[in-house]
Amino acid sequence: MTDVLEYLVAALSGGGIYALLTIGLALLFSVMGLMNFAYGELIMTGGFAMYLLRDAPWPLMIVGVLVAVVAVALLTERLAFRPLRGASPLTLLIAAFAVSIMLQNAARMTVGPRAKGVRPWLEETISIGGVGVQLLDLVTIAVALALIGGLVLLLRRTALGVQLRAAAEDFEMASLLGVKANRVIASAFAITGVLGAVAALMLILKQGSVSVTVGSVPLLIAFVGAVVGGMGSLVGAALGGFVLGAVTAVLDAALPGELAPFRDAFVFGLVIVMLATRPQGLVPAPEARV
Amino acid sequence: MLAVKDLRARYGPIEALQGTSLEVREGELVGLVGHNGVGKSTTLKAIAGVLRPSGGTIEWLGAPLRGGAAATIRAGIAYVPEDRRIFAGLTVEENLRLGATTRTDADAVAADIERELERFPPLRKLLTRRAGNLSGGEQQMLAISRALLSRPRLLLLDEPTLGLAPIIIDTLFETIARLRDEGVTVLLVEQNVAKTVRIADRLYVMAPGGRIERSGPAAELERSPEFRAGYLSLAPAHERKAVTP
Repeated sequence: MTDVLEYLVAALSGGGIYALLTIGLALLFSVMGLMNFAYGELIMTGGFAMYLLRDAPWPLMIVGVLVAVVAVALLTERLAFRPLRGASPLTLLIAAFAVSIMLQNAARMTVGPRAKGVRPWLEETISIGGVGVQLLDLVTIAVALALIGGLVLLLRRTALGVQLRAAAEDFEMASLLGVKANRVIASAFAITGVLGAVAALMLILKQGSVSVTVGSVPLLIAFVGAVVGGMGSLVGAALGGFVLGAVTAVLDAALPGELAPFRDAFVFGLVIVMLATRPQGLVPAPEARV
Repeated sequence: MLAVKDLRARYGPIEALQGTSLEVREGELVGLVGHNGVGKSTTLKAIAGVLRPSGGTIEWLGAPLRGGAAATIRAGIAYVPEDRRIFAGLTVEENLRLGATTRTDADAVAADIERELERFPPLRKLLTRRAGNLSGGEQQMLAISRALLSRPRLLLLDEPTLGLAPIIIDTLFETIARLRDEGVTVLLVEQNVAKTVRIADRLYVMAPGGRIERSGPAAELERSPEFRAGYLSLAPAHERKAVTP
């Protein structure tokens, strides 16, 4: 029973973080065909903001992280991706790698190449049913749920949200109806910035340090999660990210010491099996019936 | 109102339109007919801003129409593409509201949605349903209503009856004729020439390469034996002769 509860908390916490990341990836992919491999650097930006603001009060640091990550997300859109609007997916992909490398090197030159420690927070362990659960995990679950809930409300209940969903499904038709491309795409980048900032806070608090490559593995897992869930569907992406994050977290907790280094082999082995049996992803993108 | 002059458009090396010229006057229902692949849909795509012309001009209200799809809708031209392109993952109501994206008069939009539901009663009970679950006919009704919600001065309809059941086709043609009576100017691309000729004020007959082979009042063309032989297949056998080269 104790183990089950531990695994459940680990699964919900890890799954929640990756669900946020995959939603961000899938949103940009749906709206503008961009697989943003510079997304890992948003996590890095958040991490370095945490490091630079390590002496500031927590509320100020959280706001600082949000502002820094959203600003970098919007800047990459304005300077790198907007001029390439309408370019082939391959061009966008290469641009994303270029942005990723550029941001990493900018961080190396300014903050430094070595890993930096961040101020620990929410490390307390509380007892639930006799099981010790870290407060950070509970906060992560709550924040991820709140953020996903907020995003669902935004997408379902607001004009911007409906326009985003329409643009994600058929960008050209949305433009033909008067949906403003710049506004929708910038909003999508801002949303991915918020999601990335929150994921960065949770991931880096868990790890305790930030380095230039801190976003690489989370990006890879989130990317695979988005593929598993179904690239063209936000619900699918969230589900894929959650499942992959949850499986990763559970394997982290459950694998015996000698097998722990092979965690990723287990995770991606499961991904191969899943894609072989359901190549369209867990939730395929909606298609109009003709 | 709309003047297309010597319009040229390409798909890669293929020049689909090699000099199309046509005109639509305010309040008219103009039909653009012709065989498959002659460039009718390409013409509408160029007017709608979906396809960039390689030559010629499109004038709207006396000024060149430029700026792509976003500029077209803001200029008052709504486009219903051949494959309808409703947003399958959105509800019917969300699709309708998207049609009014360019408008800020929320109360009037609500009234217009109500009017569209009166125009197409089957949509009323489907408002909360995902549009992807609608039948082809229902999707076409939705696509037309969505376009009308922008209160366009000109409605571009690309083969609205394609693949639909005969009873729905009749209803749609009646609706399109009524739209003209309500004051909406319509440029209609259709394969169903027999029905188009009955509701249109004027007709353009397109030949391969987008060349306008003949044009004139629909009633006049309908009486022409050549036109009937080539496009209506109603003329007696001894009157039939090839119209297209």
